[in-house]
Amino acid sequence: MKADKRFTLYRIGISVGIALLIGYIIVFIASVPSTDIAFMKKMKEAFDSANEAYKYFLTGALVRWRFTGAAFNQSGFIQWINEAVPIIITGLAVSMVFTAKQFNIGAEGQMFLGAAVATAVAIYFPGIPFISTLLVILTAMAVGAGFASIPGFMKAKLKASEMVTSLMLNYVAFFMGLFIIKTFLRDTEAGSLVSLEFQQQTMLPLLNERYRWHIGIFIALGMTVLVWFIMKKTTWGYKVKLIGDNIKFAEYSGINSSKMVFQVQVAAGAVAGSAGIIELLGYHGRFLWLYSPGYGWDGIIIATLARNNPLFVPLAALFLSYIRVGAKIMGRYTNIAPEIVAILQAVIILLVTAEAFLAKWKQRSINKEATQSETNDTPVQVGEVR
Amino acid sequence: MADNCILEMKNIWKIYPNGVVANKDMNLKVNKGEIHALLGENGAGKSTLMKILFGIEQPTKGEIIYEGRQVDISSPHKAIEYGIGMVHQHFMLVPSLTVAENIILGMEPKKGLSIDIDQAYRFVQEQSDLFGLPVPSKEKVKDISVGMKQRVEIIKTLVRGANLIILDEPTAVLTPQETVDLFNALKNLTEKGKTIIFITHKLNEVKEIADRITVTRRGRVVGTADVKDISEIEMSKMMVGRDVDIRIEKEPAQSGEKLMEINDLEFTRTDGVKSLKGISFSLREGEILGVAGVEGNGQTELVQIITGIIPREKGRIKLNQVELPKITDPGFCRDAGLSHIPSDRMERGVAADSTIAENIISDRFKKVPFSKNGVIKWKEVYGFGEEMIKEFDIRTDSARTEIKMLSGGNIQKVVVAREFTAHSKITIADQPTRGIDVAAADFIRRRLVKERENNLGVLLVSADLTELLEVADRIIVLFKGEIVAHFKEVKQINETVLGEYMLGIKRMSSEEMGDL
Ligand SMILES: Nc1ncnc2c1ncn2[C@@H]1O[C@H](COP(=O)(O)OP(=O)(O)O)[C@@H](O)[C@H]1O
Ligand SMILES: [Mg+2]
Repeated sequence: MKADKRFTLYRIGISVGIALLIGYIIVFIASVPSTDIAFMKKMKEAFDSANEAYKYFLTGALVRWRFTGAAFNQSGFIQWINEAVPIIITGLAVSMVFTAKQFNIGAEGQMFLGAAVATAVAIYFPGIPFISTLLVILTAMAVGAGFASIPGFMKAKLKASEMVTSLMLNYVAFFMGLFIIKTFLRDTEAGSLVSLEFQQQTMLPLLNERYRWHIGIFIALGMTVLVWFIMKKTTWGYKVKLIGDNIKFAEYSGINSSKMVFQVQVAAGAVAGSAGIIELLGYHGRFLWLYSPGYGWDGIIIATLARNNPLFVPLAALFLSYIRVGAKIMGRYTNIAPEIVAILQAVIILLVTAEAFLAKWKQRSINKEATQSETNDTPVQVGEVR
Repeated sequence: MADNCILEMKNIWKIYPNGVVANKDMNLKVNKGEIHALLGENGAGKSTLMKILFGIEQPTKGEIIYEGRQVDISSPHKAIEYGIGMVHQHFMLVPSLTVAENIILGMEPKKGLSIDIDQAYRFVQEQSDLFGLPVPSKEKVKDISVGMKQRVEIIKTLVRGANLIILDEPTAVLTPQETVDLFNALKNLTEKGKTIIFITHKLNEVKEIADRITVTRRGRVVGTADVKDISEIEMSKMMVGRDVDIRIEKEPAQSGEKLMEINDLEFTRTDGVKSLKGISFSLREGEILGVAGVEGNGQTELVQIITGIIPREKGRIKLNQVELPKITDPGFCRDAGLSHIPSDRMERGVAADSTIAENIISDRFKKVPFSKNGVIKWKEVYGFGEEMIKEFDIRTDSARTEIKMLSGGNIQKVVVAREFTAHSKITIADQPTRGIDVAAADFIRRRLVKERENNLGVLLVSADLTELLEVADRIIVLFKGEIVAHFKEVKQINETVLGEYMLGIKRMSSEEMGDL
């Protein structure tokens, strides 16, 4: 058992290491100058500029590099924290449905539509600090929950695969959201397709005006504790886990599985529904997405990395947003495209979820543990009869 | 002697991915042309050792020498090439194909692009004559008996050129009559020069058929001997490691009020077979009612209907005076006072990735003291789990251990711990001791008897006739969805008598059966 847990940790660590190494190799290859110079010189230059790029990539979110030395990068730090907020929330939502082994991948749509509908409240409801903010967030959650109930209902009643329905509904949510903004909430004075501005008093309080550090991170962490409590400490969370572990066993024990399958998807939909609007309330002050920002998909990556444990979700989200901010800063100072992060993400997920990766090594450590405990075992009499 | 040796497995270790050490430095030597019994309790590692020999599992350490050569058996395909065949505990036949089609599967005689079906039938006929194993080659596998299916499996290995045949607990699924047939067939095969490894945990079978035995215990080989030199008592000591007294003492039943009444129950499977044809009986306080029958004669459906897993087609069920609604669920049955030990513990009886304590509270987590206002009190839960570990002798270091880390016998004890502490008046025990070690099985049987002494009712469905005869107070026999026999005095019958009714050779009239 110990070997099992330890191994999971190693595997995540090694996956991240390998991904970073692959990233480095790509950066290195991209840095080889095309000028007509000696090979060794080319290598040397590529090596120098790859190191330089990786320095920005790995430290850029926290350190501002000047000629005089290094300084704390306040803007990078705030960007890092702010970007983690929506993906912590979607990560929590996805970890809930994944715990029940329901492969509902509708978080993206729930998040988008929730934000679009709640935008109406944020624009038109009188700005009363806290009250109107809460109302906006609750609206988004209700929309997310309502939208999530569609695949939930279809799964529970019709046994329609929630994976397919939730995936398709993401498109429905996206176009419905855009339609709402375009037809009812559009700021016609603005040059692009954006909504009217939110009520000033409805916006989230800021910790730092200049870089717009908002209190979203505390909301996300509060939700983490709440989801953790619900999943690990309540009878409801226990039922969800049992259903995910063995649904036949849950039914045999007297649990109404189709009701639970429905409930967990709706509850997760409520959580996911709030992810987008919190960012709008904290940072942008209006709805401005012309394409889906992808937080729902990030939620899947994060839940996978966090092994569906709510307490690990913020760690995974902070890791993801750290390398993303680092990549953007690298992109600003070098000519390496920040999209390299997508490659790293893919490699990490691939390795973390590939059961066979390092399995030999795992078996060896299990063998060792098993043979060690073996010596404590009372030996059986061995010998030839007659 | 040495030149006569066909197979030698040397210092075999097998550690499974979950950390279970199934084989610890095992050695096995088999002579050509003999029937070699591999004897050991459930969980001793017999199947594992044979799966290694057949290439299904790879050994962690150790070597195999077959016909004088060191071999590396990386897959069943390789094993077949070497001439090793295996008949598994669970048959691997295609039910919708005929016997002959199953036998030639993967090695079909071709006529152009299509299978030459006539030649296939001829071929199967030839082979079955050659080895003295007659089979109904044109019948569909789903329509033939268990004993016949096993014979088909044996021919399958023979036509693929097997010289060494492994049979994993072949008699576990057979009636006494079918066992006799199987033994004759096996003796016949050794006369034709085949070598047989025969896995079992039944001592009388070893005496009857084997030439030599290798006894295993908890992953180790305890010893090898000629069967004629060793008594059953000695064998059992080697197998269990201590003297065993498996007789359970019990007083005659004091049956009271009716706890469960089943009336005219009918059920039709999705494949159209009517598996229950109007079954009626009742279970009373303070008795264990045994249900005997060859697997697939309606027992599964009967249990699943009573426990609310599948809906019945027709008939009435009364549990503790509560009429079961037509559309029901296991939760309703539990509330009506029913406990259920399911036949397949991994499929339905436990959640493998959850802890022991989590598994034990699955039916009562809403009740005091395990939760309050919807919040689980984990301290109470784990406290109770530790208590259960002690009371039910579950071998582990903590109630936080995940089920998948336990052995079969200990997993079954977790199931039993939950079901026996649910304070239900009725327990449906479906194959409660299948595939677990002698000590755990004995423990569970004694608990069943204790239930009855506490004036509760037990319905015991079992393929183990010895168990039924020992534990049950009354026995009914199911054959093709009907009750064909009812024994009120279990002491006066034996396995052979039961077997005749199970096979449909005999059948009681309703007067003979009396009040069910
Ligand atoms: N595939 C497997 N994975 C993990 N453990 C296993 C597996 N198969 C068997 N075991 C465990 O190995 C031990 C020996 O099992 P097995 O070889 O089936 O014993 P036997 O056939 O003698 O009853 C048992 O404790 C069993 O739970
Ligand atoms: Mg076995």
